[in-house]
Amino acid sequence: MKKLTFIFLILLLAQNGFAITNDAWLRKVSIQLTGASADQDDMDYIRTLSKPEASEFIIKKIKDYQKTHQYNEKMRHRLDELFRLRVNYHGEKGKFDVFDTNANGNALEGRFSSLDQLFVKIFKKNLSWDQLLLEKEYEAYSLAPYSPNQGSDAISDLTFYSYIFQEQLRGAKEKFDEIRDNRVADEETGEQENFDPNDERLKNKVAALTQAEKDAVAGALTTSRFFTRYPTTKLNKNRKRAAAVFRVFLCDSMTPVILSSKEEDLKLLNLALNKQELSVVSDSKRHGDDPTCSSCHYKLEPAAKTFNGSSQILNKQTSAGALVYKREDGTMVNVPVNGLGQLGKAITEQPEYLQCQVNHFWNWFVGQDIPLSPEKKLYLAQKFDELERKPNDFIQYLLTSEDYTAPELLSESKVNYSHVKPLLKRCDSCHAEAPLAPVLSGGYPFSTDKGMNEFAVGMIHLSTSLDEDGKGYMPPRDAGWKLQGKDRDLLKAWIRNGAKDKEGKVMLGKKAIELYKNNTKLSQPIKPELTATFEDTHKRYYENYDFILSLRKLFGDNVNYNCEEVYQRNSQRVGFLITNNGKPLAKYASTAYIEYIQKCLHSTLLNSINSVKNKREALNYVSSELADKISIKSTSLLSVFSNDEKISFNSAWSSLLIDIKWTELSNDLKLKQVEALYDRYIGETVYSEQQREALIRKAISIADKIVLSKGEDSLLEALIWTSFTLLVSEEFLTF
Amino acid sequence: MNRLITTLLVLLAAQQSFGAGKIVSSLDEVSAKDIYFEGISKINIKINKDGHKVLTIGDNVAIVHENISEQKNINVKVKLKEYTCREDLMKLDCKISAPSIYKDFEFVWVKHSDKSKISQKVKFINGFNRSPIISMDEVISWDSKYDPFAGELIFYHEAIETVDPPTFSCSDDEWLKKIFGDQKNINISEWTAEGMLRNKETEVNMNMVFSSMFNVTGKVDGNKLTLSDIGFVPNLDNFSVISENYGWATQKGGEVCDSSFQLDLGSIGTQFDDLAKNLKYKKLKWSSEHDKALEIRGVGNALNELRNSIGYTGEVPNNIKELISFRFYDYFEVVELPGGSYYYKFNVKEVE
Repeated sequence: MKKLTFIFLILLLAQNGFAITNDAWLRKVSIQLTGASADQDDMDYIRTLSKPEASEFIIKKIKDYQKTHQYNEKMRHRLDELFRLRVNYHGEKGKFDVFDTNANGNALEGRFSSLDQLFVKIFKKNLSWDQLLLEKEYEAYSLAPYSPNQGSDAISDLTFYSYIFQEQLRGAKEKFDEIRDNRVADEETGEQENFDPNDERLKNKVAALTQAEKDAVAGALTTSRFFTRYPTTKLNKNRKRAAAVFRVFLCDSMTPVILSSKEEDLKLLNLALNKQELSVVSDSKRHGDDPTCSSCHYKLEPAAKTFNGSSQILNKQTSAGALVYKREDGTMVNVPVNGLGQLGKAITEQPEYLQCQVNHFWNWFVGQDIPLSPEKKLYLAQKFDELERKPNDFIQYLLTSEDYTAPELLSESKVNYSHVKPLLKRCDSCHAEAPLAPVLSGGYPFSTDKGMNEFAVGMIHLSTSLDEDGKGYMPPRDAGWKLQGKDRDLLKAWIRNGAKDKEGKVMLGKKAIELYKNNTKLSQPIKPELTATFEDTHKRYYENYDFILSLRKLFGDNVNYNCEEVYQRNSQRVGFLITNNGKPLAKYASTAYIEYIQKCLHSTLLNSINSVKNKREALNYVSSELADKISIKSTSLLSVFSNDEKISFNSAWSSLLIDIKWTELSNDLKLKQVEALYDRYIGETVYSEQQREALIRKAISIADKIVLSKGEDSLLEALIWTSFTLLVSEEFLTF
Repeated sequence: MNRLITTLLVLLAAQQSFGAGKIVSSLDEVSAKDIYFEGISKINIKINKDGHKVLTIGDNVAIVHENISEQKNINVKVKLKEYTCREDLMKLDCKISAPSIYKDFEFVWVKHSDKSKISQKVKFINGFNRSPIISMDEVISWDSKYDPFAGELIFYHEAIETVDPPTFSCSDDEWLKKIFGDQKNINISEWTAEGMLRNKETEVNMNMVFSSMFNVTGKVDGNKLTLSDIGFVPNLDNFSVISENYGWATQKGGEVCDSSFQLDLGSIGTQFDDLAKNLKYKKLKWSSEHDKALEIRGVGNALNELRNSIGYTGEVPNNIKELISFRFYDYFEVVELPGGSYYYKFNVKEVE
């Protein structure tokens, strides 16, 4: 293997920024865009390049990756998660996965749904992101999603669009019935063959052609999966749907926030309730007097109305409503619309929409734990707009920006008001009228009087018990939310920094700051560090798809079927967000996750190592030094068994694996051997030299112990267990 | 043409679809084994050119004769819970009056390879040897334009023509005016039925609309609304007009207003009891004597449920849908197959 002169380097940039190495950069980009690590040749090549050269190479690779099926699928996953849809259906075993192709070798793209088709289309054609709300054409599947081959009582696109596009879909049902009935039946079981999702006959192109249809149709909002995910009742009145729209497109998660005054509450409520003709009579009675309700309902009701008349199936008749919300600066947005199409358009015209979408991309690619300042968000929103809101171009920009390669971490001194504002806003939902509580609607600082501010900050400190984590009486148990460890750290740092206001002005007196700084329980500063999670953090774990894809890249078809079996059986798979709350099943890699990985790894390695067919493949497992030693590299392997020329390479290799004793190899040879595996699996300079060395030594040590304890002292056992150790390591499983 | 219409009670419970499937045996092989077929579309009961209903089994043909036809009215108590565009239409007592029809049929061979059988009744042996019964308690709103097999439900079509459509009325004499203004011919943009179902995306059970109809029209006569047409039924598999909770979306100005209704399930049981006592068709038994007979399973079980629960505890039984969705033919059985699809099992094991 090519030895590089400048092995790894992790640059600690000015203060708390850091830069990733070339191969770490490529690896991360590749996994994020395709689900698997980069090709070995590319990894070797990029290590030889200067930063500018590497940047050019990365741009080229990004463009290549963006043309792949895996990229479309990865992005579809992100959107499924954003909409809180199931990333994976209970499909047939081994079917419809990101890595699967159909019998003709064509990639299985998307699922049996117009929504998935739309998601994929946006990335495949690099359409404007606005098409999520503005698209008027669909691939309407005749099949219902979820378990189409097993029969499903879910609503198919065909049914969903059957009323609004009645003419365009004429005869489609009959055509589908014919396809369904003419499938070949298995002779033994009588079961009919599965549908081929690429069968063009299952797709029906429909499009809003008239103005009335265009007003009724709004991209992802008017799809059967969106309606299925967010069902409605006469009681709910489409509020679930409206809330999803606000969350996805305006990043408003509807955390209750109290408005500044009763008068304003009533004004907004009246706006929502449409003047005199109240549209939500019973709700106004229920919620009208409760400001914590009206703080969300003034936004929800007008948007929800645009869904009226389309409870389960898309109606051709539109319903009037409005896009109503209050901006950060207190100004009111109120855009009357008629129909979902107009609602979608109104949303794309809002600056909050742009900033929100930029935020999604930031979280997906840079990581939600890398601070995105309001200024930077604004800048990125402008950039996104300049790039005509084309997702692939914006992703390319982000992945080659310093935010990605040398992100600036949050440090103690940088914690300011913007970091704690969301927390205080939550407190505000109950504290609106309490004079000593932080009332953000009045703006921060809480008071013009420094003493009052100190008192209020002191109350925050005491009530949340920042000295003793988890023991504060605020927020109360029934608040519906808790202060997380990260939230506490932010609050502590903010207070230590003098509880600065939005202009960065210190709002506490010197004495108070001194007091807080001298409080030993408060004085542990925030350390800029990144923790790998299954969430959208900068450093994150492989999703199940990624893991299997990477194994396939390393071991080809030798990936044991158990890997997919285990993976298929988990309806909520590790790594994907749960549809109910948008959180991962587990935040960090759990024992269960590692066990799940272990289940498939051992047999995969055994199959793979044993099935080596030629010297080139053999060199995937043994270092050049070891190959020299056992005569693989320099001479024909058969020469080892020169007396018997009939022995095939594979059987010779298998014998060799058993015959060579691991314990008899020199320490240096062992080291070189595991280094070679490390460099292949992870990449030579992806992590620091110390990290690399520590993991390699750990792998050797584990192999030493296992071969001795099992009494199977062979190269085979050693290869399996050193590989195993490397592949279940944090270094491999995170990127 | 007096299309659709009658209604009442729920049509098909959401889960009881006409399901996809295939013919395992064909009807002309009827002998000593069960026959499975897909939906009612596959049954060879049609109207011939002379206007007779015929049942064909292979080359043999039988004509259907009506034995008994009875009509009773059922009044279902309903609450108009809310009308979102007016504050004064809340918690109104309403009523749906609808005919319930019971028909008894017999089949007589008109063409048979065994000439001696001609003019004889078709005997269903080893199965349910009674003639089919049709209950028009089910919603009758089929029209062939919506679904190819619906047109073959000839019994319904004939029955529809003989009965009056259901009427909806409320205790507030102005209720229709408040919703529809002065219009005499009204339009309900969307008619929905709700129930507790599993969300396919989250796999959590929740209340949701599971059935929709569009462009439902009707006529206003004072306090009474009589439905006259259903413009569009997108999904016959989950088709239901009335469920425990159902609703209308109607236009008022540019706005869409919602009306939500809730059935008083308790009022239904009493009426079924009365029906059972007063029908001439005495084969409809409220017992488990023929535990596979669908009308027994449906009505009988539901009544028992009512007696055991609603009447005494006031609680709504879980399988209340059984009560309001019992099926039409006593020689059919809905069979659920692995994977959730449904078949109609033809319970006649042999036909002479």
